[in-house]
Parts: sequence; C-alpha cells; structure tokens
Amino acid sequence: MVMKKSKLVVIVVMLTINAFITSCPTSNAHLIDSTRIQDWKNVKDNIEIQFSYKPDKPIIDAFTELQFSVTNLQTGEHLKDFVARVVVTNGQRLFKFENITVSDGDFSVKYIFPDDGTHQVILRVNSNHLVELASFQVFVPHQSPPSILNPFPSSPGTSDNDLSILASKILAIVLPVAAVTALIVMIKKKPKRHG
Amino acid sequence: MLQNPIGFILAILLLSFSLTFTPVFGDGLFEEKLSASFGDRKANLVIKMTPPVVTTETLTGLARKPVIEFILSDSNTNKTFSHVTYYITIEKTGKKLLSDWFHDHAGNLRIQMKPSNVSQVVVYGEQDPILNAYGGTADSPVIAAGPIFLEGGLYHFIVRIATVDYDRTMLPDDKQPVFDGYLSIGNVENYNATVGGKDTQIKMTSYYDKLRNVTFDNKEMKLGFDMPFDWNLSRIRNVNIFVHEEITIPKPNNFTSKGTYSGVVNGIDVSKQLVLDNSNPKEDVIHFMLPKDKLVSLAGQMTNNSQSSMDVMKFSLKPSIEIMRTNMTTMPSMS
Repeated sequence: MVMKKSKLVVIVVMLTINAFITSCPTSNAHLIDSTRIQDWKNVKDNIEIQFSYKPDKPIIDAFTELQFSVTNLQTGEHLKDFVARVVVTNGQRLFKFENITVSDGDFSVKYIFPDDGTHQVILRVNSNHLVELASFQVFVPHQSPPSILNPFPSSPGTSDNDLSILASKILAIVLPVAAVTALIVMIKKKPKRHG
Repeated sequence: MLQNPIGFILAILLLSFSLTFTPVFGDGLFEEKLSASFGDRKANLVIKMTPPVVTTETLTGLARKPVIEFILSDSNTNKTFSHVTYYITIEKTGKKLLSDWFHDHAGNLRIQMKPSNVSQVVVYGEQDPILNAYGGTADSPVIAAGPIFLEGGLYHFIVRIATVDYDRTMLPDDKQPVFDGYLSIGNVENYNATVGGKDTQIKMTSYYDKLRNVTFDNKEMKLGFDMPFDWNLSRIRNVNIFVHEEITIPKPNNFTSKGTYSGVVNGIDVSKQLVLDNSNPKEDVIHFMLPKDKLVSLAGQMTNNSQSSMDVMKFSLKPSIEIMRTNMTTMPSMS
C-alpha cells in the first residue's frame, strides 16, 4: 500500500515537470525563447543575421534583451571572432553599444526602452573579411499606467483568455499542490510502530 | 595648347572617338557609367577619377592625389539621389584593398586616394553616429591612404547601395543594388632596346593592365609585349570596355625612320586601330586604341582559332610603309 502511494507521488511530480516543459514555446537553435525572429541575408558576402528580442512585448523602463546570431548563410556555422556595434534609435534618441567582441556568432545586449513605438536596431559587424550593416525593428507597445482597480495591467495585444497561458497557470498551481497534498496524506497514514 | 601636347592629344582623341564611336567609358578608362535597379526604381552610378588620366609615373608627381567620385542618380529623372550610403569594395587581381561603408548627404561621394607603401589601407573621414559610415565634403573628401593605386592596371570597384533619400532607412537586404565596374591606372614600363646598334629607351604606358614579356627584335625591327586579358566573348559583350596602350619611342632611329607603323594583336592586323602622335620632333607616340566593337570582333576571330591564347593579349608593333591615321598631321614625318 505504501509502495503504491510512493509511486503515485512520483508520477504526479513527473506530470508536473512535463507540464512545464510542454507549455514552454519551441526555441530556435541559436536564439533562445524567441517567437519572432527577423532575418537579414547578404548572399554576396554569404552572411545571415538573425535578430530577436525578449520579452517579445517589451515593457517600458524594464530591460529588453536584444539577441543576435551571425552565421554563414550556406553552412549555418557561426561567424567567429568579430566586433559588433549596436545602435538603438527611435529617430530622436540614440543609444550605442560599441566594441562588442563576439567569439562565436551569438551575442545579446540589454536595453531599456524609454518610450513606446517603433524603434530601429542597427547592427554593424566588423570582421576580417567583411563589414556588414543590418537593420531591424522593435515594437514597444503602449502601456497603460497602473490603477487601484487594475494594479497589474497587461499590455494591449495580450489576452487573459489565451488558453495556453491559462492552462499553464492552472497546471503550474494545481499540480504542485496536488503533489504536496498527496505526500502529506501519505505521511499521515503511515502505519505507527507497535511498542 | 602646345605646352601640354599630351593632354591636348588625348582630348582630341577622346573627341574624335565620341564623334565616330558610341561613347565608351569603362573597363580600361577613367570613368564608369553603370545601371542597376532596386524594387521599381532604376539608378545610374557614375564612378569617375579626377584627374582623368593617371599613371604610376604621374602619381608620384601629383601635388593633389586622384579623387574617385561616386554619383548615384535616378535613371528616369536624372536627379542625384541624396542621403546615399555606399558599401564600397576595391580589389585588384582578386585581392581586396578596401572595403567599408561611406555616406554622403548630397549623394555625391568623393574619396581621395593616397598611395603609400604600408601594410593596409586606412580610411580617414568623419563617421556618422548611426551607421558609422565615413563621409566628407566637396572641399574635404574622405581619404583612403595605403597600398592602393600603387601599381598600374585595372581596379575593380564593387558598390552596394544601402540607403537613399533618408539616412537611416535601409533598403531591404534583397533590394540593395550592386554595381560592378573597373577603373584603370596607367602602368608605365621603360624598356631599353638596341635599335640599329643604338641604346634606345622605349616607354610603354598601359591603361588597362600590366604589360609583360617585352621584347625587341632588331632583325625584324619588331617590338612585342603581352598583357593579361580575358577574351571570353560573353564577358566582353556585357561590359563597357576599352583597351588603350601607348608606346613612346625617341627618334631618330631605324624604328622611327619610316614614320608609320603597323600593329598586330594575337596575330590579327589592327593597324587601323593605331593612332600616331608625331607632334614632338624628338619622339613618336603610338596609341593602340581598341574599343568594344573591335574587341568583340577580335574575340570572335580568336574563338574560331583554337590555337589562340584566350587569357592574354599579344601586341606587336613595327614600322610600316603604309600611311597611317594621325591626329596631328596627315603626312608621315620624315626623320
């Protein structure tokens, strides 16, 4: 009986872990946790640059990670040993990340967007045999200020009715609770030793 | 006019060619006019050198080094584009000499070349804060200093356009037009020949590529030299091309005594393509002038002859008894 209950606990815990894994979005081999990848290709110089950002709906005055992956267009191999320069601008403000040394193709920078709207991200890659310029866009959605009735407003474009998010939330809360409850019940029902 | 006979003669030559031939500027001269499209727009790019005629000899004496100008214009309106960002690569015989980004708000980019014997080319100019592209002004052009234009021959220019009209609105990666052209630095070679028992220095200037294998046969009184050249007929048909070789021979001697010459290229007579400048009593200057239609004709003849070398142009020059075309006199000079 005890063995059966132990097995039950193990199964429940494993289901919980599996629920977390399957609720995560699929990830790109180079850019992690990205659902929106922008692509820049230069066929003549045989170079491909992928860009993404996290979170995919940036929040004003919070860090957004700008992710880049520079590869050989034909082979997919990372471009090695180059210096990158990233400029973020909305036409009025300008912020530069200079002299970024990259040894193996992938790198990222963290930027705080001060306002909403469309921002341009310009990457310059300097290597031994080429100097490439690529342009990408980041859209920062408008965010309503918090109020007493809605202290944690979500950005426009998100939906509380999103089934996958709701299911993830339920699983994230219910399954661990169920696992812990089962464990407690099992411990309480453990047969007492006779003197 | 007489103080600068060479410049005057070249001006006459160019004028005569513009009247008798379709203007040919390009592969082998000092200016290129190229076309490309991007999206639904079409653009012309002019790449030109000032001064127009530059040789390895004149470069050392020039107070102001040559300036390469890039002018991008709309094919329909002929209006120059503004806020142009250029990615310019300059190669020679497959070796990359310069490759970088340049920008001009007016669209008219000027780069001054300062040849020097150092390891690599360094660019001097103001860099814009967004693209980090080099820019200059009409009075203060961008400078490229280093091992560029040190040797004569053909320089390959590959120009990609990344922005037009606005400084930071980049054209999509698959819509950036690429222009491919060549400019020529005259390569000067001096050759000491024994002509009729007399030491004679012959100066040869190639406005296409470097000359080699220079020989002089005293018996046949024949001067011969080679130049690398790709005789591929499709290639010649698809580019603007002009081959110009200049031979300066002091006189009087047995070679210049007749005052006329005949020329051969790869075994084919091209005497009608020779122009003689005998305005200087001390020397004859003979020009081989081979425009595109002549090169196409020669290439066609060579294709039919399996023994022809398809990667070299073999010149030979010897005195002739026939009267040849001159731009300065109608009668051959008597030396």
